[in-house]
Parts: sequence; structure tokens; C-alpha cells
Amino acid sequence: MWILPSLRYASNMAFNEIPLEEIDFSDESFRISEELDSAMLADSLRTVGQLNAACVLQGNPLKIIVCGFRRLMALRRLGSPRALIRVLPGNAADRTRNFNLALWDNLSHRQLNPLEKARALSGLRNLCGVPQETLLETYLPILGLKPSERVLRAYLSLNDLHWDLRRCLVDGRLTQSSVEKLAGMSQESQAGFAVLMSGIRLSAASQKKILSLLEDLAAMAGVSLTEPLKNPEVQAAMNDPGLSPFQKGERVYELLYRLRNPRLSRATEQFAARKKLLGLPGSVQITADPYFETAGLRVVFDAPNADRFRDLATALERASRMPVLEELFDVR
Amino acid sequence: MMPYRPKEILVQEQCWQDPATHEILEKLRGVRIDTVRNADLRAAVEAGVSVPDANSRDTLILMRYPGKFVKNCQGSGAEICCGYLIVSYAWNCHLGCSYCVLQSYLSNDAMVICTNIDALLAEVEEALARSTRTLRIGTGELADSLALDSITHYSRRLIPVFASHTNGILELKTKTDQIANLEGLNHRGRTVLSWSMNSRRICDTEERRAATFDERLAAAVRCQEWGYKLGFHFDPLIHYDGWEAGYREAVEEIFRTVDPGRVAWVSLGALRFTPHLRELIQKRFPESRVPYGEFVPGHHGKLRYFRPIREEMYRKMRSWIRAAAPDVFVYLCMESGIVWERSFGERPQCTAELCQRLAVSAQRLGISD
Repeated sequence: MWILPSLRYASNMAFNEIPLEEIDFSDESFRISEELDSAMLADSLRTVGQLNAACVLQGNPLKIIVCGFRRLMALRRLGSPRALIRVLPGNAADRTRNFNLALWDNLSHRQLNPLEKARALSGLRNLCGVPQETLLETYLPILGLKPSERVLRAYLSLNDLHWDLRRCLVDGRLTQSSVEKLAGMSQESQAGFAVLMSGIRLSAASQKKILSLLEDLAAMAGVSLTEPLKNPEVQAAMNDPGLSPFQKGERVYELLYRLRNPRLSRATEQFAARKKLLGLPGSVQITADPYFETAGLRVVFDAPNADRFRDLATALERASRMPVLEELFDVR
Repeated sequence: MMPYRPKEILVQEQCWQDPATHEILEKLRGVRIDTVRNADLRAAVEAGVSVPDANSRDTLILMRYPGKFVKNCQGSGAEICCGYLIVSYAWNCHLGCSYCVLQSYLSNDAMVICTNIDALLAEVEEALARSTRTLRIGTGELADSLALDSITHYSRRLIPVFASHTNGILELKTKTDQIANLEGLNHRGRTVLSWSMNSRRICDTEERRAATFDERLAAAVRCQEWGYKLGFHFDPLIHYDGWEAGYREAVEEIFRTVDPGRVAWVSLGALRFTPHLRELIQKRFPESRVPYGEFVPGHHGKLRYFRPIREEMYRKMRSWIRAAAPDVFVYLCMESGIVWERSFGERPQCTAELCQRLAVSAQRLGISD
């Protein structure tokens, strides 16, 4: 017969109202939640009181929180002197059991965000000493993750992330993939990138491209990842009050791309300027190979009738006699 | 430079029947030897699955190559190609140049030597006998031509084959100074000894385990004294701050040291690599500046320097070579007609024309009839 596992503890289960001063709020060994300050939870406690007991271990001398960090902190902030608490049997030494209680308590009612999954995996490995194989086979699937070493590595790397980058990830300003890449860099670089992200908005694809440009520029100059952002033009774009955060992001990308690819950018700008000098109507499109690898140009025009066709052909004929046409083929 | 010596040797079981196996092992006395079953080894090497303990250059695999030895060079897909043929009796290289394409091209990290050298020689003989044109055949595509020669002595078997034909030119391409086996051979001028050269700075920083610039040049001088014609390949040309001074000095030093009248050709090719290889270089050689040029995606998805950068490099290289050695034939490797035209002011119209120009250059030096 299947028996509810928690019944194993039932005989020793004790619910008490315990003074909060007996709780060690600084011991976060079993913390899973990233966000400890929940307005909704505070509202709930203020309105209907504490519905579910927090779980603690009898520490020495203060009690250690296993489940209910957010509840207990909210109660403390609300000025409550006591909380409904279940004191768990056993002791803090049984870390894996205690960590499992904390984990399942969270998983029972919500999805963990990537940072919380990282915190859980890190706790299981470092605090509980759970072997890698068990993390892969048991805990990654529990957390809804693919049981691969790469995934485990990526999540573990998130755990040491700079605080400001954690905020960027939680707020959705950075993708997990960007954050994973930044996780391998210095705290200074992480902080610098978070500063950048505080003023601009980037799509997932742009984040990847900007990170790659910064990595290259930093490696080329032998400086830190965010040093290229000190470029005066980049700074001006980031501080331009006339641009929206998305426009700033695009501008920063363009400027970094130009720094990384000076000759190609110059050639592209020159090509556009020369094309303009031909004075062709907008319905005539002249394009070159995106990287000018071939010398040829593609000319496309759209004529809805014979008169328009003649007009466009005349414009093209006029352009063909202009000296700047030769320069259009001469990319240097 | 130090010749190659593995820490262990894996011998495919059927290779024990090849005399070459015993000759190679004789030169590597004291190295641990294991025999590997035919099927296991072939499957592993072909599939890129590592043979146990065969994941580094410290492992030497002796095996029979079951396929065709003589093949078209991979440049044959380019708009203008030199029509080169390659014959490979070894794969991989222990020189560890940062930009080396073999890092991503080969699926196994071990060094491999084929012991069915007789089959290779027979195939070369047959190709030469069948061909109505002059064939330029090189061995330096999937391995350095001479890096393993102190172990295999294969040069001593290949060179006489070409000496006995009038329509074949053997090119041994190397970054080493392992030339001891070449002395005293009756090559009849039909073998060209070529050195892959670079500026001193690139030799020192990106080709660290290869022979130094001076060692390569000294080896070239020795081979010239033994009657061999020489070739030089500036490939890859690398664009870095100070490249002009570095390459100009290299060109001038080469032609101050060797007799330009005995140089069959000089080829130029700018650095190119796949995005995957670029990542590998960043990972394996974090101090290398090679991955940080101004690259754009080009032919077959390979990254190459932005075209005007390549053209500038080729134009200047050719002018320095012309100034030092006006009659030496210079050609571009794996480049388009437009790059030829803008770099050299003229272009071969097609692959056949470039082949013809190379043949004429070879004839002029008496390398082929």
C-alpha cells in the first residue's frame, strides 16, 4: 500500500506559534526563492493571516528556516512578533532530506525561475554533496530540465552571477542564453553589462550579437568586456535623451559593429552615399553583395506601365553617364 | 626543431604484414605498441570516434588506407584553381599551428601514417602514366610533407618515382627542417621542396612548434644546394598591425638567401577558416590574435578577410616579390577572378590557364618537359 511519505514525520510533527526572534534569518542554506520580497504574499498575510506553516529545524541556538523564507520575512516586515511554524524532527546535518523538503515545498505550487533552479542545483551539489550523476538523472528532470552535463554546467554557472545581472534575467531584460555567456566572465564585466542593459533594450538576437562584438573588441584590445562601451560615441548614444531604449540598443549595436568592422562599415557607407549621388528614383533598387565579395551590382526596378518604364530607363541612362557609377563598382 | 616521437603506437592488425610498419617501428624503439583489430580501428577513424587512448598527437596510428590516395586538392571548387593533386600518406600534424585547418577538418586527434605505401606508389605511377598533361602532386595537404619523414623515410621512395616520369612534379610542402632524407637522391629536378613561410612574428607566435623562420630558410638553402627547385607558400597571410613590415622583411630575406632563379613558384593565400575553426582557435589559443581580423563570410561559408584587405595584401606582397625576384611565378590560392584582377592587374581566365602558366614556369626551370 502506498503511504503518503510525509506521514513518516507525522508522529513528531509539531505546529507552534514561535517568536520570530528565535529564527536565524541570516542562514539561507535551504533557500530556493530568488525573490524574497513578495507584495502579494504580504497582502495575503495582512488580509487573512498565515495559512501555511513555515518549517524550521532546531538549530543552536536559533532555528534554521527550511521552508517559508518569504512567509517569515513578510511577517517580520509586517511587524508580526510570532509565526506559525512546524519544527521538523532531525537536525541540520541531514542536509539532503532538508533540502528536498525545501525544494518540493516550492515545486508543489509554482515553476522555479532559472536562478532558483540554479540555486537548487548548487545547494544540492555543494551543501548536500549530491553526486553529479544523481543531479543529472534525478534532479534535472524534476526541475524540468534536460538531463545533460551541458545543461547542468550552464545552470551551475548562473549561481555565481552578479546581482545586477540576476535582476536583468528576472526582469526579462536579458535572455538566459546571454546570461549564461556572461556568467563565465568577471564580476566587473557582468556589472558593466548590467549597467548597459539598464539604459537600453535589446532583442534576444541583438543581445547575442552585441555580446559577440564586445568579446571580439575586448580581445582585440586586451581589455575587459565592457571597456569598448566607454567609447565616446557609444556613451553619447546611451545617454541620448531623444532615443528610446530600443533605439539606443540599435545605435549601440551599429557603433560597436563599426568599431569591429571599420573597413566594411566604411565601404558600406561609401556605397550608400555614392548610390545616392546617382539620383535615381526610389523604385530603382541597386544592391551589392552584402560583403562586397563579388564586384557585381544588382539593379531592380518596378514599372507598373510603359510610361513609368520609359521614365525609369531614362533615369538609369542618365545615371550610367555619371562618373560616380564607376566608383560604385570600386569598393576599397 | 624536435622530430616527432609518439608516446604510444596503435597498429592495425593487418599492417603487421607491411614492411613499412616494421621499418617505422624500428625507428621508434621503446615506444609502447598495441595491436588494434581492423574493424575497430577503421570504424573509429572513419567515424571520428576516438580509439581508446588515441585522442592526442601523442598517439600514432599505423593503418592501411583503403581508399584512393590521389585526389583533387580542395581548392578545386574555387573560380580559379591551380589544378593541384594531393596524395596523402599521413593525416594530422604535431606542429600545432594556431590557425591549422586540420583541427576542425580531421575527426581524430591522433597522428596517422598509412603503411600501404606500395599501393600509394602504384597509384601515383598509374596516374602519371595515364595523364597527358603535367601533374603537380603534393603530399602536404592533410599532414606536413616532412614532419614524419624521419620515421617513415617515404620521401626516399616517392622522389624516385617522380624522377622516372617526365610529366610529374612532386611538391613536398613543409614547415620543418627535416630534410636529412633528401640528400643524395637522384631526383632529376622533378621534386620541388616548398616551405610554408610567414613573417617572423607569425612564425614565432602562431607556429610555435614548427621550425623557426631561419631554420626553414636554412633548410631551403641546403635543398637548393642538393639541386632541388624551391617553392614558397605565404599561406595563410595574416593581417595584423605591422604586417607590411613583417612580410616585406620575410620576402626580402628569402630572396636574399636563396637563388631566385631556382624558385619554381610562390603562392599567396590569405587566412580563411570556418566559424567552427575560429571558435576552436579562440578556445585552444586564447593568446592568438588570428581570430580577430575583419572577416566576412565567403565561399562555402568560410570566413575570409574583407576583399579589399586581401587585395591590398596580395598587391603589396607581389610588388615586394617582384622587386626581389622579378621572374618568379606568383599565384593566388583559392581566389576569384576579381581578386586576381584587382591585386595583380590581370587574371588567368580559368583553372586551365593557371595550370598552363604553372607548367610553363616549371618548364622554364627545367622541372618538367
